Amino acid sequence: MKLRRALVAWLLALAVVIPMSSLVGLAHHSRAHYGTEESTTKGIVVEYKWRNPHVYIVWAVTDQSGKTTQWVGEMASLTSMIADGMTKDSLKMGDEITVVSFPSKSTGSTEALIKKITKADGTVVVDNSRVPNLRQP
Amino acid sequence: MHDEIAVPNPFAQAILFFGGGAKGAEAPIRIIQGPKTMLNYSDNVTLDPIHREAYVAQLMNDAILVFRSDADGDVAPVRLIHGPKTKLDRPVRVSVDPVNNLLAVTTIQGVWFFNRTDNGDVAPRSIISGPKTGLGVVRGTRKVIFSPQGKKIIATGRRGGAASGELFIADAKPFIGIWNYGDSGDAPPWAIMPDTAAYSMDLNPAAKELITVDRGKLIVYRMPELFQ
Repeated sequence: MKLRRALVAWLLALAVVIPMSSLVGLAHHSRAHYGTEESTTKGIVVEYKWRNPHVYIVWAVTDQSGKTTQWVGEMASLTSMIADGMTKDSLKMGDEITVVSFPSKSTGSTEALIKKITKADGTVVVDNSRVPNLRQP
Repeated sequence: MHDEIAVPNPFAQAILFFGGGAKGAEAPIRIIQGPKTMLNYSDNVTLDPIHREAYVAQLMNDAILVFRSDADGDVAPVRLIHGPKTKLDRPVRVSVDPVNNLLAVTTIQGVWFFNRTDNGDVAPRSIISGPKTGLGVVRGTRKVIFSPQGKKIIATGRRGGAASGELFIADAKPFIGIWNYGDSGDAPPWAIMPDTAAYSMDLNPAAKELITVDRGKLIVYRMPELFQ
């Protein structure tokens, strides 16, 4: 009887833990689904989400036929992005930007991992391939 | 010891204290917040239950703020480590060994060590940083903890990428490195847990365990060697 009660309690605990784990996983997931080929696009900032666990940007890219696609770009955590020199004011809606990113491997997906963002005036907003400006330790 | 949970709210420049049994939409029991606090962006809060103090690194201001952990409201820090002598470069998190009077800070470049009671513009007592350490610059050095019993320092890092100047996170492999008290400079770890990512970690000395958290996973390692 005790064993059955323990088994039921364990199954109930598992039933709670599994959905919680998957939610957390969605919020702070692996980056394995992004490809390794760089893509460079020019577009307009539609949304800039300054939040944890990851900072996001949505930008609209219009192709030669006039079709506009909205891309969603993932960056790192607030802590990482601040250490890289970004702030909540680094981008605003309507900014013209050039984005170097690693698009998702999924066909038809418009998600990408951000590598570099440059504004139209040449200001580099973030560049993950650049050695940060370090002070002498 | 005091059955409380302390969390930063980086968007409100605040530190919130909850009762240890808090659940749901329970209100905090105390809030440190306001212009006197000098709080800006805080990634983490570390509590020293023996001296009843709370430590926060200020990533945007290159400072370490120390508050009484029973403080409430718009209060000034009781100590502040800040200035050119500190050489702090984007500090992220703090750990304290109250027994051996040590304070460790992860920065963008590695781990900085101060005396726990240091105040003002003071030089660090030592720094672990450099290519052999695997710490710094690749977004990997987030968390450091002390094992006072084993005189060990445990820190998260990432290897690869930095050596070639390529800092893109996908190229770097996470690890947990273990150093001995007294190690400084470009010192390689005494031991490494390779390919081990940990956004945060802590020790359970009673069970001789290292507990890590990363991407929704909580992993417990039994590691008596950390406590010997």
